Amino acid sequence: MKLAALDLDIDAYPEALDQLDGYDGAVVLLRVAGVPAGQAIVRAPLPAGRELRAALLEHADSAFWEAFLRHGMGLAPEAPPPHPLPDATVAICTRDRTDDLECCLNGLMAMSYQAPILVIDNAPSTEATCHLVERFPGVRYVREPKPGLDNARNTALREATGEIVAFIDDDAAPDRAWLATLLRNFQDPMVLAATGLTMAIELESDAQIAFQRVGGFTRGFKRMVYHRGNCDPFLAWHAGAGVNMALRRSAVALIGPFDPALDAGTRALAGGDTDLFRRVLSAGYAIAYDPQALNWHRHRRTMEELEQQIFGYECASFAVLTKALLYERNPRVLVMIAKWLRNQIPQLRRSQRYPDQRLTFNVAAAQARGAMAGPRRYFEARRRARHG
Amino acid sequence: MADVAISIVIPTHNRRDLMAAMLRALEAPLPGTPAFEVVAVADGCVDGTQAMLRGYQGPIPLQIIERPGLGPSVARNAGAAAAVAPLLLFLDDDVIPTPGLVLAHAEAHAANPGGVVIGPYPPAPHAARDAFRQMIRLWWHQHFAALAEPGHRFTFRDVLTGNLSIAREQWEALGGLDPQFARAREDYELGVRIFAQGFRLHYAPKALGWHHEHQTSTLNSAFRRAREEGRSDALMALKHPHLGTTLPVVQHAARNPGRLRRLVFRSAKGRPLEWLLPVAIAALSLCNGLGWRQAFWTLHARLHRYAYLRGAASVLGNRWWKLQARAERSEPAPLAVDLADGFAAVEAQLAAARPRAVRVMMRGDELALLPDEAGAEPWDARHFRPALLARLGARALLPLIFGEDSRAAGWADVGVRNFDAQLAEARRQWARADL
Repeated sequence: MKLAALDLDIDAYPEALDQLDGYDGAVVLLRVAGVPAGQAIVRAPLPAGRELRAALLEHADSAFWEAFLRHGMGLAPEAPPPHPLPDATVAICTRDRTDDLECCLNGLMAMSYQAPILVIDNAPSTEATCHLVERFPGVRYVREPKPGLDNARNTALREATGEIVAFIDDDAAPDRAWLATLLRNFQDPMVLAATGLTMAIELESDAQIAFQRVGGFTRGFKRMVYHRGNCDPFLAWHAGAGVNMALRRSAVALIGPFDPALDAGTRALAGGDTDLFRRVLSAGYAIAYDPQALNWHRHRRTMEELEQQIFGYECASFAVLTKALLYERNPRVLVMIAKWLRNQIPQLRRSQRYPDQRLTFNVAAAQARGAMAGPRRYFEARRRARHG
Repeated sequence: MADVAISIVIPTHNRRDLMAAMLRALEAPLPGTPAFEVVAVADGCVDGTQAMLRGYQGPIPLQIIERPGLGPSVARNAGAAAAVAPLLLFLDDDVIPTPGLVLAHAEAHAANPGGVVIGPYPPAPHAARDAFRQMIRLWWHQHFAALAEPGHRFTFRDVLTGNLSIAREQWEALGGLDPQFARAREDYELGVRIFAQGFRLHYAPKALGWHHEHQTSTLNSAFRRAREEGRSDALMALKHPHLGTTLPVVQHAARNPGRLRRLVFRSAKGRPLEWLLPVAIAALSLCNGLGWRQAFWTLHARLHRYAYLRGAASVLGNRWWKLQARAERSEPAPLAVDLADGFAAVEAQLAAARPRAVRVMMRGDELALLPDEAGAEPWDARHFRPALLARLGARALLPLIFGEDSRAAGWADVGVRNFDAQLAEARRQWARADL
């Protein structure tokens, strides 16, 4: 199956959707007056003209309708009060992915609001990234020889200038207003991190569709400010992901840097962003999730990569629990594990009885394997981060 | 000192170091800030505050007034009486101003002559891991976030003297703060009179100060304060009967509790039980330290209520019946508007009439009642759309704006904010598309 990933404004849509030829359907990002508002998931073929609008409205989600209602009533979209934007740097942590990186850099150059760009090349195997960056004037290149995404992120926080560092993945491309929208959330001094909405840039393979279907990087289309009062720190991943986040640089002094024993490039596979978000919330600070700060991510194309990714997320989640239990002596970890078991065991049973025909592997089983591997992998990653 | 435009009145009680930090912060205002003086009222200080103030060598003209410790409202009145400028700015001694604070107050008054201006003073950013600190901080943040909403309807509870400015003329017309409310709620009580006089309240987000409450408040002091608040609210209910159930103490009086509750909360015979409060606070403090958040919140809410009601009981004695009658109020006749005329027409009506209550009709049928609220400003144009959205909810407004024929599956989940519920909605979207 193939789905198109579209970006349409409800009052400025095309006469007919030619892009839909050869696709089974589409995931449509819907805008109201130019501002990302919600999504519609539709099946091909779609009618043209007025009926296209009706079809989109029929399949639009509640977030879109909330925004459309505000627009219809003449109220401004939900947003923090206007304020001068803080100084910022955009950081891309990358490793040997020049095609994606070029696309990302082109997207950054086209944004309505510009900030210095920093490319952190993490333990590269070739000089390709360095040569690519030379072609973009004004983009700074820094090499971080120690492998591990969190090492690269810490380097970015050190090397950046300005109050804020906005992170985008090398396989993602920003919307025109991405940076300015993300930065507006820092007016509140308690906000140490802001996150945005990440949509799929393409849904060409079953694996990409499957990932988007279970939620992908989408954290809803409604603005939220997460703090200790409305979000358990262990569920801090609700607030967003490293693919689309900005941090106050002073956060390092307040809650510490990214854990070098976590995330891509380590044995723990992922989780550096969620671990940092967890510490932001535990220390009583806030994370603003602003879905109008939009970027587009290319999901993994093959089923093997997807399985590995799902394994990695669960592994990282248990790596973080291990860290909290053993190194921070947080007894609530035991409650979290009990909750996980209560949810996961029935899911495992259900998935074995009714396997998902769209997938070549069992999600619940991959998660369980990841969870089992998490603690040991965290110890290994920690040892390696300590002793090189 | 004839050209001083603003007098900053700061009452202080045994906070010498914060007071010194305060003066340092005021020494570097933004360019364009009008000339100002500081009137520091040392209220029963025994920590050398007076000596520090007398030794002050900086550029700010400083008046020092000493008072015997009768509480901040008396101190503020004394400071205002000694102030020379036409504009009074009240700051608390634990509110450290940012460089733009004084200028923002001056600009707000220039734009709204005769108004009362409040600025935000959220807790100074700091790491706070315990439930108590996070709870206080959340309260302050939500309070100022609400004030910043463009459609916010101000009430007397929005008037806080920690960061408030008012022209001397209006201050004198109001008669200053009521010294009955010596240690709590003197600002709310002033707010009641501000709205009764018809003065307008303005919120100036740039008049930002940082509240160093984490250096000055503790669990113990919070319960002392709850007691004072109960005491003041009881006095306020007696002084301003029209406030009715907007005061928690009147809500409580309207209930008919059993004998045990009456003994514990209301009766003078229950006073010996107050000795148990420190024990309970110690237990609460233990919950806080152990990170038992749910237990902390539950116990805190109960103890807070207890301290508050005992404070009220110290004023009311056995005369709680006095408040009972005040729970019932008469609604003023609402202004009827028809939404079929369009938002703009309705808002023009509101701006012209400034009604206490509004009945919103749709082609003759009642849609919503925007009620009178005691101690709040009257309804105005800017309140209308946000209030309608808040009161009716998006689900009820959608058919009005887009017509019943446009009903779509997405309407079912408007207003949902829960994370899992939003994921479930997306799953239903996929299922509906049949992909």
